[in-house]
Amino acid sequence: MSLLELRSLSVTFSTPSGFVKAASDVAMSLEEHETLAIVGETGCGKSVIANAIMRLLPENASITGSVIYRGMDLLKLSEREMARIRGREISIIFQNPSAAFNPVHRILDQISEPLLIHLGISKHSAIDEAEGILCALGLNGAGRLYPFQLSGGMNQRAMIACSSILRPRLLIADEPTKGLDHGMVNAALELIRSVRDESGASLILITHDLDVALSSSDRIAVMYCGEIVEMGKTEDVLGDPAHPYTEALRESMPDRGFRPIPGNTPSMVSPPAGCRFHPRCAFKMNICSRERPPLNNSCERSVRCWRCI
Amino acid sequence: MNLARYVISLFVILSLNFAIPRAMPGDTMTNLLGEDVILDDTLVQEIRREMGLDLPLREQYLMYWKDIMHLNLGYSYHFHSPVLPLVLERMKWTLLISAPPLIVGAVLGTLLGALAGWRESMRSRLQTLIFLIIYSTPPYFLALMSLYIFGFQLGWVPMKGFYTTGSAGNIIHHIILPVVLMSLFSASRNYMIMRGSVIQERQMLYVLYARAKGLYDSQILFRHVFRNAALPIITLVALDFGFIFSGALFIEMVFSMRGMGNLIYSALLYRDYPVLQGSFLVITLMVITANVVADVIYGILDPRVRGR
Amino acid sequence: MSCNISAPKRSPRYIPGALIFLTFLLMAVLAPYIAPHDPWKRYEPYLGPSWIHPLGTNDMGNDILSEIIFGSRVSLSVGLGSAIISTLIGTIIGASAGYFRGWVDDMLMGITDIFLMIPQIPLVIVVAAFLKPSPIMITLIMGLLWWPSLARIVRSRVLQVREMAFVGAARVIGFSDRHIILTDVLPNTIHVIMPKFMLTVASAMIAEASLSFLGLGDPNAKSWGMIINFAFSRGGFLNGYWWWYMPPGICITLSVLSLVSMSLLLERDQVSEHVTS
Ligand SMILES: Nc1ncnc2c1ncn2[C@@H]1O[C@H](COP(=O)(O)OP(=O)(O)OP(=O)(O)O)[C@@H](O)[C@H]1O
Ligand SMILES: [Mg+2]
Repeated sequence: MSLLELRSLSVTFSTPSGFVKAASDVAMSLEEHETLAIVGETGCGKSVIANAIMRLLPENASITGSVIYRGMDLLKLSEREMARIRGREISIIFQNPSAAFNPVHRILDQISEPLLIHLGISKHSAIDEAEGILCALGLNGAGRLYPFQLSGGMNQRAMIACSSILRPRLLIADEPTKGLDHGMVNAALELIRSVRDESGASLILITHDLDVALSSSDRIAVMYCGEIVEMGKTEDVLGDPAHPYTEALRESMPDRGFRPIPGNTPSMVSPPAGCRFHPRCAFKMNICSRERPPLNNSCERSVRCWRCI
Repeated sequence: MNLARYVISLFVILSLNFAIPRAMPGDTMTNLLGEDVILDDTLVQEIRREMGLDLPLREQYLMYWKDIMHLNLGYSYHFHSPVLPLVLERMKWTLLISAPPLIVGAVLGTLLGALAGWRESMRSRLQTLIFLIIYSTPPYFLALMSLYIFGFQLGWVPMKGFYTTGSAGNIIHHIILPVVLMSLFSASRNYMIMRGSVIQERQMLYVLYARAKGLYDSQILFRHVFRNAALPIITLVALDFGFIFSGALFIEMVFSMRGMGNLIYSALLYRDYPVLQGSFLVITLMVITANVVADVIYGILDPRVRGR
Repeated sequence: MSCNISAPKRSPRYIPGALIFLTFLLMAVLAPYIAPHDPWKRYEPYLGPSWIHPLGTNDMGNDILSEIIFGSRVSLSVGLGSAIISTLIGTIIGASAGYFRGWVDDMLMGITDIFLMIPQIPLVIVVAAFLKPSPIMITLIMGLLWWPSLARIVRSRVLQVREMAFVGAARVIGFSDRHIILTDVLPNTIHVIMPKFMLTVASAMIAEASLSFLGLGDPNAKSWGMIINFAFSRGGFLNGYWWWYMPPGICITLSVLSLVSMSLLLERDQVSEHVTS
């Protein structure tokens, strides 16, 4: 049994300007000890998926489908039951560590909080344990400071410590390297990988950066406009993209010459009919604008494209 | 930096107090003594000289400051008393009905406001409507209505005054209705501010992260959101202090209590300008003090300010 | 150009407040046509409610309903007038401080902070006592005193707007500061000004009612507060003539309530817009 399985997960936000279909029919699964990367342009719904798994979406979101974690559907749990899973079984690392910490509490108090609320141990021993972890990360003394006194990179490490302090089985990292300067990127990734391996967790790694995905993930899911368009082993997918969007995404990376994908990102309120990528696709056929291609499974690779049927 | 701000404010307000009677239409001496004074001409000349009104403005200004330094706020011919002791004596009573409500109102208003801003429910909407109505009603009208109902119709509370016999129980019986009204009035203002502040605060990422750590609703509100949301309102509440205090003045008038409110009311009736100005000065001083206190509290609660 | 604002969405939640306020506005405009009597004409004093005088008559024999209808003119115009004056002052000061920054900002905000700390109602009482004022005078005094909190709000919004790309572009192209403030900065600030404007109208109306209750103001300019003042000081309250002082009070509360609720909804929509954008 997989650790996590999403079955036709759809998320719709109701906003004053209409219904935003931020995720449509997303299906994927994650095994124990596996790392799955989710990549795609900004606004394609990566964070929405992450937050939907943890049920962190705001009230204007309506979610359908199911999120099966170790046999139970998280979407059916009560808020109390869900709270027991968050932070303990499933943890998340956000992309903006400085804003993710509460500005008026000390780092140490915030890192030890999961211990306090999930294990019910004394405040004193929780702080002790958190202090030990900070030391191991080379952040001695930083625990007594406030988030605004730390650099972005230090806050990032502190947040990774905080999210992994209870050795969760599933770690979600939502663009953990965004906003860090180049030297820090590898250090942060290294830290996440080591945390993953130490606690034997599975990892969902959301990123813009295909290199990051390539170096750190077993499998990859490529998202476009709320849909998964291609999924498979990372080397396979990035080495030999089957979907025109994956190909275009690869070509837009800086080391590949930085060629931007032609056309505009589509509206999520009224996405294009048929294949959502067809207005920007170089291989467009007649059927593409009429009918939505299914996610076609063939030997460990799924592709949503009429060319691959 | 902030200290300079308060000192400058104080200086400007005291100078304003000097300028007002001299800038207003009418005879400066009348403006300084009040219209309740009838003097014959020779006496007028004498007093005019004594008050230095024939000196150049610059010297009058220096004299004014000397008086302020000696805590001399002038003399009320109507009340036959120096202004400062008169004001302070009345202030005691006004503080009796406004200080407890300030605290009750702050606690009640921020708590209920935080809950209402955090989660919208049928109950919180009703609550907001009630506080909104209190917020929108002039305090004296609220006082009139409740005095009519609880004093006039039901006879539960006395119609006027601070006391008849002077025992503690008697005083409490007299002030209970004004105190409740003031508490509601002050709570309604804190409620609206806190509710808005929490609504804004709950969009923050740290709230989402707290939820992701496994805290549930009430824990997030009270461990994380409350303090952040309360920070801006500390300053706002201090600035609102003058307004709430003014509410107390009006409520006193309705209940015919011999506090500051009634002092101002009679001073107005007899155009007793020294008392009016003295009252204004003392109230302003209290507001400035409230702001200083708020600054200190803010500094304690917000590490970002403390760090500097 | 003004990319990140949009007009407040029309929604049914605004309707009750807007309807109440419009009713009072119409009442003020059409007062001579809808009032059953001339509010200055004298009938028998101290009459209770009847068909001819739905809310009875006062101590002078004036018809109270007609007084209230005409009173909306004074109350609303003082409220709106002083709010317009103070909003103009606050906007100019706040926008200049936020746009020019530096010493202009320091100086203007220093002044603002001082004004912010002066307790407004006591100061108005003192000044009004010297001036024996008319409604116009009251409007002016309040207009000159009520602006500081708006100036603060406008300033912090302008500081944000200033950093937006199109403002920078306009500066590079070489438009004058005045032009940029009027065409780029203010249109993006209006949505923080509007809710505050409504609140200012509301608080000015309460202040006017309070001053009139003190008898500060022209006794012949019948405002709602003045009617309550007479009911209180001339026996209406002690005799339990609720029809004399309740209706004007309810009018004040309702009109203030409508303004405050609209202001809150506007502000609220602004918060949720921030999130979606
Ligand atoms: N609370 C919300 N209300 C309305 N729309 C939302 C909300 N949250 C997200 N969206 C919309 O859902 C879509 C997907 O957003 P999401 O944050 O998942 O993008 P993303 O892939 O994570 O992008 P990025 O790489 O910039 O983080 C966007 O179009 C966004 O506007
Ligand atoms: Mg994202």
